[in-house]
Amino acid sequence: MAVNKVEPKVVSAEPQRTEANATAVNYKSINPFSKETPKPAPKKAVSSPLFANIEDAYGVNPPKAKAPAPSLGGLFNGNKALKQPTVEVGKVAQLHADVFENPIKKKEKLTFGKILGNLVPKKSPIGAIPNEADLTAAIEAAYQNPKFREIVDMIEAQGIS
Amino acid sequence: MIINYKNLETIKKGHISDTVVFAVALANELGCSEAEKKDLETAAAFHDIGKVLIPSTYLNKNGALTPEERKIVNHHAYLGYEIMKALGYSVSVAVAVRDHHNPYSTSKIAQILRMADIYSAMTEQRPYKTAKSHEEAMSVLKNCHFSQELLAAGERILKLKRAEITAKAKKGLFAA
Repeated sequence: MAVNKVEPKVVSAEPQRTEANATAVNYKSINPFSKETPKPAPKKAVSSPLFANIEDAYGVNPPKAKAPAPSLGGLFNGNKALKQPTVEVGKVAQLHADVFENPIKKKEKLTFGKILGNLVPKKSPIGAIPNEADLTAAIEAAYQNPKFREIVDMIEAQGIS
Repeated sequence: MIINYKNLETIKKGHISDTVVFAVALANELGCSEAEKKDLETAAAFHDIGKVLIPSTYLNKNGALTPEERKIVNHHAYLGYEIMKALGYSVSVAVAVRDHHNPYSTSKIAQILRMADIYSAMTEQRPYKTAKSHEEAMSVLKNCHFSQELLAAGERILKLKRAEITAKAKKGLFAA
């Protein structure tokens, strides 16, 4: 039986290395501690006359600057930017009072429950109706009164629950 | 001694809150003092407390009571009076509880409570009776030995819608 042998293809890595070196950023050349401001990139040549006076056009009618995005604090304190607390060395920073305010609670939303809660008094004497133990004690005390006892005994004598 | 605690649950239902609201609204209309309103409010909330000693069979009877049964049920007012005293409430509150069915009581708050109680009982739906209209209820009240002043206040206040009466009562409710 004939077997087709596949010859291994030798691929040179040299051209790929050359390409990578050409596009690589020379990180060693970037000094993070350098005070020099990076130079702006050289202007590209304008390929079309349509874009030739683009900067002049912007000069007449510059694009509107976008409003700055709300600070992160706005999420928690009703769009009021949080103030950065000033801290002296060796002292504990005081957080701004707004940090603790819940904007959802601050809004006076009228709900059905709140309206009902306003109508129904909180300390109703109906709620003060005694529990079984207190009531039993009171009835037993009242039972010492002869007239009370007479009526209660008369009702019980009916034998009806 | 048989204490029907189930009756305690029953008396907490709608009739009591209606009676409290009607009574305090009437007291406001009549210009009662804060102390009177507070006593009235407590008496209205507790006026049926004596029913814990009345057999449930009578209280839940599906139909009119016989005179004998009515006599037993009516004892709840006096029983409530003694219970209120034993619970430590003031004499004026206890007297209002005792006299809330007595047309000849000299207690002003007892008379207001009586009107609120009768009106509430007549205008609410019960398994054995239909609710009376305001006009029907007022015509009954006119024959219940109320003073002209109280009847006039009742005419002005009780014809209002329930929410309006509540709003009027709220001014005087639970005064400190």
